[in-house]
Amino acid sequence: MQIHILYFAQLADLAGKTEESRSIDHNSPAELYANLKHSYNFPHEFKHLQVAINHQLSAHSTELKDGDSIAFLPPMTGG
Amino acid sequence: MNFHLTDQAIEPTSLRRKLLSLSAGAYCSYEGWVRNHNEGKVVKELHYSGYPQLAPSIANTILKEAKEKFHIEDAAVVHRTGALTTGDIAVWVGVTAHHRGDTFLACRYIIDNVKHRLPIWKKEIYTDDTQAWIESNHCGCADPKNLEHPHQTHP
Repeated sequence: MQIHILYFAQLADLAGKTEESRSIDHNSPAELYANLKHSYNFPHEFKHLQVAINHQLSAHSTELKDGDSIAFLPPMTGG
Repeated sequence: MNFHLTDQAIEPTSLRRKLLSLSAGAYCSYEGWVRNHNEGKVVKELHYSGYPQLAPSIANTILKEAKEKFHIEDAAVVHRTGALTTGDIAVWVGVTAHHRGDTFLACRYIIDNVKHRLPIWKKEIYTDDTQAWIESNHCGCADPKNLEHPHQTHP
């Protein structure tokens, strides 16, 4: 299935892009992040990131569906 | 909606005007400024990156919580994105209430939670042209009582 990935902050810098689409053969945000971490040398552990699916904060265990967008969010540092 | 992300300069006077109310006896505001130093390094600029499709719902949740916890009339938040230089206003919070006490408490509640929960990230650019994404707002400034979800992972 096709998943649209959004990158923010340090993850966007390391990936060299703010978004991309990937075809995956599983439905796990954790497995997807593990692959991205390997591809782009992301420093964060999955458990230290929040997950937004279709622009809503979601549990780490949420199952992805075809066409979903997902963002892995580093610790927020506004203000 | 009482929340805005903007890449334009924050103008507190006009934002304050929008909160004016004849039934409010108190108004409290907070401005977060870009300071010229952090942890021993001289800061030249801050670059704020936000998640505009998610930030409004989080901000409105924080504002709703503040209205439930404190006796306030109204509250608003504006946060900058993009490149800011020292002295610029990065974030503004305004609160009105019948009495002053709740404006102070609600204003602090809102800014503490904005800093920890709003999907915005800042990168510091230093005068030696190095740069670094800030990884934590845990500077000890936040009132721990205000942070119900400081490490929220499962909403």
